[in-house]
Amino acid sequence: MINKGSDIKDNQHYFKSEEFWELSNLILELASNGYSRAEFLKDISQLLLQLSGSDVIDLVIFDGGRQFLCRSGPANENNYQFEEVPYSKDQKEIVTWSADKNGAIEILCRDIVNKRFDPSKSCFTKDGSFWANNLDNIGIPALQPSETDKELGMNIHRKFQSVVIIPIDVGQKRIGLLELRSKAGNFYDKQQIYLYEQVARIIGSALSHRRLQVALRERVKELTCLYGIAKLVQQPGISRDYLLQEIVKLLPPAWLYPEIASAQIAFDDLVYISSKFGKAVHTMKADIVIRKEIRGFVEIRYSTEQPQLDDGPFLIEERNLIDTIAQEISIITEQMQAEEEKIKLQDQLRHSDRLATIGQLVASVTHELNEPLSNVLGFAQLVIKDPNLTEQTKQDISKIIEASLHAREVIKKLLTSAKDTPIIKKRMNFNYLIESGLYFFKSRCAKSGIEIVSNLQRGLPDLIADRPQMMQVFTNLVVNATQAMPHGGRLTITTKEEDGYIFLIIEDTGIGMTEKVLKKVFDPFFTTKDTDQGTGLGLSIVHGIVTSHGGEIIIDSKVGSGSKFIIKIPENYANSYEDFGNE
Amino acid sequence: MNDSEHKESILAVDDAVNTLEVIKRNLVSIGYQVYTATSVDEALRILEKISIDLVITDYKMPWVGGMELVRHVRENLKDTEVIMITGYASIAGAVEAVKSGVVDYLAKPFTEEELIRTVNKGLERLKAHRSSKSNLSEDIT
Repeated sequence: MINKGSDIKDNQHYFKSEEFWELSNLILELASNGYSRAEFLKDISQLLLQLSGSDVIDLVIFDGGRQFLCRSGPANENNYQFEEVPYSKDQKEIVTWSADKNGAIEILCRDIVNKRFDPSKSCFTKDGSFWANNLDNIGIPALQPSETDKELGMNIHRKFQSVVIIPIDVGQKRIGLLELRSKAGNFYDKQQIYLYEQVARIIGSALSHRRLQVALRERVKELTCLYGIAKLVQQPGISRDYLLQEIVKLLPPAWLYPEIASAQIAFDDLVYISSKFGKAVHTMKADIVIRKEIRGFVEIRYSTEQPQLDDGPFLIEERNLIDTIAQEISIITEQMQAEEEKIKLQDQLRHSDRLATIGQLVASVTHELNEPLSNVLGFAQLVIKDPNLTEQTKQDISKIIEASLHAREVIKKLLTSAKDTPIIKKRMNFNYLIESGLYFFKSRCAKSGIEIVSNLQRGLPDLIADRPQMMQVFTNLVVNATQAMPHGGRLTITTKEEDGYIFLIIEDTGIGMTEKVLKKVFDPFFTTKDTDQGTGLGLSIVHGIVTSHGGEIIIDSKVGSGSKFIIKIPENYANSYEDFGNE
Repeated sequence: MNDSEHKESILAVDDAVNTLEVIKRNLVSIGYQVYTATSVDEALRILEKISIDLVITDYKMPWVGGMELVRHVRENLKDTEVIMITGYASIAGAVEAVKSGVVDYLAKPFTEEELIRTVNKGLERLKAHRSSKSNLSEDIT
């Protein structure tokens, strides 16, 4: 237990050597406790105040390019102050501080910091410490309360007669000063100065150790945060939503003051916040950039005032951390996006492959079918010429002929949907084509209780495309839409031009389609209708025609609400060709 | 229409014998003289011996295809027209055939009416061709 020494002789206070060891251990222990710099220096200065019996203890510390003054006065909570003191270095690396701090002691301190002293003078030790028990006798004016003292509101009016100024070094580097002052004269002796010099060395080591400890602790927190993010990313099937929700929880503990920290991640239109997210006295932000586009940001907030450090109240390392986290989020979300696009592309390829396989199958099957169908039709037509047939037989054979012709049409349509159909480009007024097509549907729709709404853009630019095929697209889509509204509804037809594309949008208020149906809707022969309502080739043909024009089809459908088919075709599709087919 | 009105001779070439029978029976019933061959080789032998007005040939046959027959007829038999039939119908195929000198192109399965219409078209062109040839020789003489 550290106590004031019981031996006091001629106003001198004996700092015992066993107390020195105890103090040294305490100092090192305090350095490992994880306290802030201010708290650490306060504890040290007040310990020294207690131990030494001095009236004032000053600790001047250079740390991270800044200078801090920690002053403890007589044992009284109000006589403690911690502040940053601006300083500068000239070309010769001589430290100076502001001109208003030019009292005798301040000048002395500067000389000691800059290692400018005359070692021959008895007031200096060989290690460069200054000590004096009677300032008058060594020709330095007795210390009057300096401007600094007045600024700090220190309640010191009397002169200090005994002063000790000890440099604090770490290796060859001078990192600060320990100053002890007493109003009493002859307060310090050589032996004690020697012990205080050892204490100063311990303080230097402790400060260095503390800095490393703090840095290590912060690095561990940062690494824990980054590790947490890495572990999240590894979870299979994790959604972006869940990922960002979990990342935002990892952020506040990684910061220097986790108890007052909260975090926010904004990405596109979504925002994720940690618990206790609220007002911001201090904030730190980093943008989330994907392919040079800012898609969001990561933000840390402190809800109360904190001392200034490197970046406001934040460390340089925390700036690096938030930048790293924002980058990680960018990379991860970009990878997720790429994965989604890859899956979509694979689906499309599989679909195209399936269609291509079906196309090849169709081409060979149709030829195989055409031959026997040709025989059925040909011989049926020959047989029906026989004048000796009964009426019933003639009717029966007529049905055979009719069925053969229907089969012929199905095969033709199948070939159309499966093959790349050569396009004969012609400039056309698309609205006129739509109006012509609609004309044939008006009465049919009226009978079925279907209201037709036309939103055809005035002055729609001409479309260069295959007219019969465009008509087929329109017809097939309208038929589909009307069949989806067996009890009536509304059919809305829209045309517009946008960014070099002509849009045809056909929307119904019918039964809609499930996700499962949507995936197969362009497959040949796929149908949800009764057999007499179609062959299941209509949309397959539409798909074939639209894609051969360089366009695309987007479907938006909800069960019970209806479907919207959006056909998008480039105004000038340059890839018309004449192809001699597969024969 | 009676037999005496149709003296034109028609050669039908197809490896599918049923198709040949349908063509033959339909065209014979309206007075044409119809010969049949199941290969291009057989067709060439007939063409060497008999004067044929119109050839109806399938496109795809084993060994030698219909297009070879078309080229032979165009190069060597100026007084004979050709119609092509096929089970692989496509616009592109039709364009190729017409460019090679075929009068018309008939896709299987075809109806009796379509067959007769195409045959008539072919024979009309033949008549027109013969008519212009005889006018030319009259002018010269």
